[in-house]
Amino acid sequence: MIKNYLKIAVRSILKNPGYSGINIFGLTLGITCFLFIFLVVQYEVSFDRFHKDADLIYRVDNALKLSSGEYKYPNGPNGIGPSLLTEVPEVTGFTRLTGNGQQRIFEVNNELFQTEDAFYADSTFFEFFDFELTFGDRSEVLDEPLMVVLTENAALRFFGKKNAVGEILTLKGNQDARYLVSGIMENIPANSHMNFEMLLSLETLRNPNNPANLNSWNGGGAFTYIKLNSPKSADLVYKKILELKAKYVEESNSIRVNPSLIAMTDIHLKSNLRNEMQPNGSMDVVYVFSAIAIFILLIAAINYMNLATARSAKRAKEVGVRKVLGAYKNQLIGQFMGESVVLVIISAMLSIAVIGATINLMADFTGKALTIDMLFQLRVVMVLLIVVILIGFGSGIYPALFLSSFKPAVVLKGKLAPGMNSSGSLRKGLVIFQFSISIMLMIGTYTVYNQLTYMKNKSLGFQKKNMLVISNTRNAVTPQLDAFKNELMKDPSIERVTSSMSKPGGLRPIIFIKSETVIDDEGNLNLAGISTDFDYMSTFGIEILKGRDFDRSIPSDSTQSILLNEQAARELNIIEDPLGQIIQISQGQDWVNKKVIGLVADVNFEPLQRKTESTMYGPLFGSNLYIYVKVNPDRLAESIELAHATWEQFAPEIPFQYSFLEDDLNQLYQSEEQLSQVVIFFAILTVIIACLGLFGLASFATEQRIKEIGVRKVLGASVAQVLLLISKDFMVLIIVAFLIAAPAAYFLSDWWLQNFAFKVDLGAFTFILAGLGALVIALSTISYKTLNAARSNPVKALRID
Amino acid sequence: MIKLNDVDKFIDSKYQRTFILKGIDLEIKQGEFVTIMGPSGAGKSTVMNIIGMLDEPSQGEYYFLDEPIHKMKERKRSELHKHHIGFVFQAYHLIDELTVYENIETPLLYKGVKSSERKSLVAEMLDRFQMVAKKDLFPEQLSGGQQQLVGVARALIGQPKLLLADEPTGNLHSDQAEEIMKLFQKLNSEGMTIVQVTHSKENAAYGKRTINIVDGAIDTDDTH
Repeated sequence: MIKNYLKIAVRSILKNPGYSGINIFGLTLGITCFLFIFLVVQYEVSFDRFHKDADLIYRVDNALKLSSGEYKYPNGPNGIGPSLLTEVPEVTGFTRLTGNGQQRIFEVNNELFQTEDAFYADSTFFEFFDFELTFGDRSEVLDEPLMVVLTENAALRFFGKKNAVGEILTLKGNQDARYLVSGIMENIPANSHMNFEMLLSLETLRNPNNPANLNSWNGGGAFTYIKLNSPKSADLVYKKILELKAKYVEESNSIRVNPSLIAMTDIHLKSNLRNEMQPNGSMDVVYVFSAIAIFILLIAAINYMNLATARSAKRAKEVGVRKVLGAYKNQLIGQFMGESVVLVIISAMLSIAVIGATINLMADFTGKALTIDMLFQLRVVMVLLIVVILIGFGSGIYPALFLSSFKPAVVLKGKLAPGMNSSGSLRKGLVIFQFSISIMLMIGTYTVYNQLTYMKNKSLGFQKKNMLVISNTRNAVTPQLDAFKNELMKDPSIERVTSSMSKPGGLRPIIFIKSETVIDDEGNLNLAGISTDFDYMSTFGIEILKGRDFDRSIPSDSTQSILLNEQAARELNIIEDPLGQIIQISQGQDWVNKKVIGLVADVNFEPLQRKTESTMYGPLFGSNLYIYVKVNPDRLAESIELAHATWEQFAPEIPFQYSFLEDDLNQLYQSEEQLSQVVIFFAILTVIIACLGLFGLASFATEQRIKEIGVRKVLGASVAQVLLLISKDFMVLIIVAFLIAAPAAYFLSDWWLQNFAFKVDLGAFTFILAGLGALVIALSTISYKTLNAARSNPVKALRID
Repeated sequence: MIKLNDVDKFIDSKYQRTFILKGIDLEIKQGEFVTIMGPSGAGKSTVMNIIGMLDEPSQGEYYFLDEPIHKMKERKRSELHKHHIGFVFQAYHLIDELTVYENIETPLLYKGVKSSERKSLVAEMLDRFQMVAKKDLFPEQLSGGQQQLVGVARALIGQPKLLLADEPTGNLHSDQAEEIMKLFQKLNSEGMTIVQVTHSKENAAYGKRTINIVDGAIDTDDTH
């Protein structure tokens, strides 16, 4: 019997290639998308779980509590880890990483290498975490000063071989330091929130005269990881940390030390702080992706249900005959379910093949390290099995019940049972559902795209085009900065040159200030400080609203003059009369007077997710890590060449490194960019799948009404009138779908836009565009089949009977 | 074998009851060859469907082999119909996706006959209808007459006691029709009870008794 069902299933699939093609194509597309997104989500939630004690490991974050808000960082005082281990019994271990984000230069056999990805690590690091060591002993590799562990890739980069144990790596500095390679670790798995290529022994930094220097609660910027005896102790440990804070942190420092705990396995999806080791993922993205995956699968399953029932007229005769020949209803249900299961199994196998063939492309596309073996994890196989069963049976049950309920005496006479034509009300509901989802995705996609374009094109208030950024590593040319700038300015292709300690989009130091104009100062008044050189405002094209720019010929401008942006002036209540105001800024233990000489326009140095910060500009630190060169766009190559040559001349011992500011800024929106690309991709697929179903339904509707079309044409109906006749029913469905989708899409888009301080308006235009888009797409889908029918010779249609 | 007592069939709509059959009393004995005739819409097919248990009377009693069908549950009725009744249709109603062999085999599958027995039964039937060479063809590859032969073979494979034929030759040329009718006559002579619906007097001549139905009631009932 089963054999007979299968035979029928296969033959009926082969016999109706169009119908089966639409179904298999749609289901394959749906299952592929679902599976693919499932892999991405799996990958996203797999972060850091490869450590044996992953559930017990927490990171201690730290926050600065300031007048302008709370600034949270993933790293904090050095002393938290050691105190917790000795004073809190629930903490069984700790390890720290510190000193990231600095440009370091290493020399190996007279060759120079630059890296930002180096940390100092506690000797316990490899016993704490389960990163594999290919060479070296876990407990010994970092236990002495001047030891270094390289990743395999770093070993290859520096030494050209994987086993570099025993080699020497010289860290360039005021005094060169020779590090001994004591171990080699496997490259960090892609699903780790950590990112470094070497670990230097933290022991190196221990001051022999003051061994407690690494244990202070009042300084340092260590990433502290602690291990608990049980995940349930987290709350208790947090309380004890606060007690320890009261014990160790000086009153004046209280606002700078506000620790909190985050489970390591939550870091990738739930922590997105300034100064993370690498950009993390986002839970929102996981939710959005999961929703899309389920929607696509649903839409594909609905296609099957709709097409199978719409086709019922064709199967009705078979049902009648089988019943006459003695089939029970259950047997028929079994048969039709069998067919849907066979179709879904075929589609699932095709999906696996498609994913196998495109996994690398998809990995590039999403920026996730997806691999083919992920497909064969038990969990993935189980989910695929569940999908096959759910879709196979779920979408098969309705057509099966519907078909098997036909009365043979009725259907064998060639009459149509109610609901057999294309206007079944359930089918209408399902089409509305499909198109609601499609339209929602269209609106959502357009919103994301719009916001991204807006962010890229929004005038940030400063020049970002044609701006060459040279990394002034270790302040190499700072002592001869003016000479360096003059040398560059000699060439006409260079328009302007300036320098700064910070970079738009990067971190800026927070500077504590005092001002007589702010009365209820709780000691935490602060501004973001941008340490600038002369010509900064003119190079960046920042508008000076009041007062003047820094001037070389005025000596005090090199020491005590500052400029404020509008936001800062407003916060300090001096927006009306900023010039000449005195502001005290904290420098070490001292307060230093600075005089405001000008007011400049607010500009957006931070990504547009964040609001404009209150900012002060001035010669604050005498450190100029970035040199900005405004170049002539027509002579880009020459400018880079020139900058390179000049750099070699001034700092031959340090590699020349540059980028373009615009590219750097676009990097800030990389995750949004990738999200939007993926969402656009899946939105298009969703619309395609929904249209496949519509196409199938329209085909059946046309087929069933072929006689009516013939009669109408004989009576003089035009092609357009016939087209309208068939399309009108579907158009109504699309319009209803739009009415349902529009408000839902509005709320979702609005929710997503909350992430941005600067955002596009959700104009009616977006909605009109999506609605019209859906109508046009649906209409053209329907028209393809209907047009043929409308154009055909009516005599042919009428002769059939 | 078949006994209808005062059978009515009607459809209720909002304001009126439309009778399709009214007060049908009919008895058919084992071994009869009955032809039901009458104008279009007179209720011939409805009588057939009721006899074949594809439809239920709205009122009245139906005894098949002395069992009260009108009192039976659907499953029991289906069981009875599956084992004792074979159907032949005007439009053949073969399953397009199955071969000749598989079409003939299908009733046996639903009866739960074992594979080896199925094989020999179908082989025997193919032999008897001289269709061994055509067993792997699909219905659309056969002429109408051949398709109807398959239809008859399929109706007979379950060894029914009653063969119901609803205009079995309606779609056939006259020589094909003659072949089918002769086949029916032969089956009847071998003991098969046959009830057929037809418009053709020639076809009726093959039977032994002709019942005329007009407006849902038996008009004449002649044995010849």
